[in-house]
Amino acid sequence: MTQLLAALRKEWLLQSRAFAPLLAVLVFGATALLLFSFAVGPNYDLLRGNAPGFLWLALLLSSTLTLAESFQAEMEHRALEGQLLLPASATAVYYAKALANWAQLAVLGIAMVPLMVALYDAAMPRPLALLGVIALGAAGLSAPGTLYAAMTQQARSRQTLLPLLLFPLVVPVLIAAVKATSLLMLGDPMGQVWSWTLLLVAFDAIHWSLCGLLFGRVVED
Amino acid sequence: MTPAGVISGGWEYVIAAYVVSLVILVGYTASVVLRYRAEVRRALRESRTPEVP
Amino acid sequence: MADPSRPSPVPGPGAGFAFMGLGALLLAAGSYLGLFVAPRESYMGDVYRIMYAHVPTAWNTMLAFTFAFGAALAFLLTANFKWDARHEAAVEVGVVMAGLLCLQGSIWARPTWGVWWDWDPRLTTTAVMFFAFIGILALRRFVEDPVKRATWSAVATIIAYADVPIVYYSVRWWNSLHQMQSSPETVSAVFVIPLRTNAFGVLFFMTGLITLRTRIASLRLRQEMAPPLPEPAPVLAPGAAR
Repeated sequence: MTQLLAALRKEWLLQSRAFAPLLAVLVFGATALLLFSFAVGPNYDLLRGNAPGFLWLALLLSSTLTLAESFQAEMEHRALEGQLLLPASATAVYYAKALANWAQLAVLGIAMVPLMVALYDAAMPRPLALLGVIALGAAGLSAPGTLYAAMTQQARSRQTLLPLLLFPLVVPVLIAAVKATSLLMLGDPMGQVWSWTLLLVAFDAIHWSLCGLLFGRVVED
Repeated sequence: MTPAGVISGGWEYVIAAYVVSLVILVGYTASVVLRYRAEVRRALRESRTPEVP
Repeated sequence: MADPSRPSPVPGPGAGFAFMGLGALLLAAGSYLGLFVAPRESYMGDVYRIMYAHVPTAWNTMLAFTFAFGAALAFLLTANFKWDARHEAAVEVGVVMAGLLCLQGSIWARPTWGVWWDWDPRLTTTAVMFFAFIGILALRRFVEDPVKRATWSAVATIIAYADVPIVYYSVRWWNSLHQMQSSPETVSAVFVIPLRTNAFGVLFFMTGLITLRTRIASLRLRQEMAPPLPEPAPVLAPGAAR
């Protein structure tokens, strides 16, 4: 546990210097949101109806940038091996990194909501619930994303490999998060948002445990 | 052929499905066999001890 | 052909070809029965005959990926590279089968539902698996160290396979409001024989393919893990040491 806290502190230090890159990714996400509206055209009904999909697609695309960079600090000066030699448990390293990525993605998601409201004339009747869905969805992206980021950092063609591996895997997150967001924003007469939220929770539970379990094998030498 | 039921004819789709299956299976099998032979040849070449006259 | 001092970790190529031959025979028999002998189906006319190719392919695709999952797990637990070879073979064969399955499903969908793709949960899950495992093949290609390659792709396969039920259920719920599943589920006896024949045919054929492909992988691994002898030295006088 103390190892986890120590690793978290390291992440916090890294994060506090990561404001500029995070801002850059936010601009990327905002650009993506804008481009989606050009793809669809200035049809308000269409835009409003698809706003949840656009939000999550933008977040998914942005995640490839933040995740790919997440092990950057560790790759420089071979810090990852250094940590593991300490000995720091690989699991602590993983969960700290995954939590840090989660925080980044959640912040990105939340920051994109006002843009979505403005660009697509989207309604926001249940903002707190929406926050929860963004948090759960970001967690779903972060768990496998952190694992694959650790792998692909050291492989060739790493920029292509990370999304190639991650995107098929997080299809359930995309489906459930978009559905839940859509129900929250556009109305949920049959109370279905809970089943989609449950799906997100299940995905998160499975992947946060499975990826944590397997991370040790990924970084061992 | 007298069509029966909701969907009439459709043999061209059946043929298409079978042809596609055949092409892909035969093609992939050929690829595996060719790669296997190449790999065996390479392994033989490299395992041959250098000749000393 | 293999080094006689080391027992072969997989059945030899003879077994592979034998499986494929047997499989091809069964497929020929089953397809003949399915295409020309089995009667027309009441709602789908003759189009249903695609089922004799499609359903066996579906069963065996899942089998291939399941075997890949098992091999990946076995490698992580035993660190024996024969499992890595089997894993690589099963993933590659599984990808080919999954791609074929999507094509077959698309060809079926067109006359039955009028569209090339209808988001059927099983077919959509197969498409997701197709992409997921292509990614794993790409991962294998882009990692040069054989130990890392084996470990990482095994981890990736375990995660991808564990994901399959979640993908399936999420697509099913997502699609349930729009789509009634109308592909034949209950099959009466007269249709079963060609189906089973083809199913075993594909099974044997695929086993043969995986066996051969495993040989390729293990030959390559042997070369990677034990570099070949250096080039022969220049001609020396007889009796001189090399």
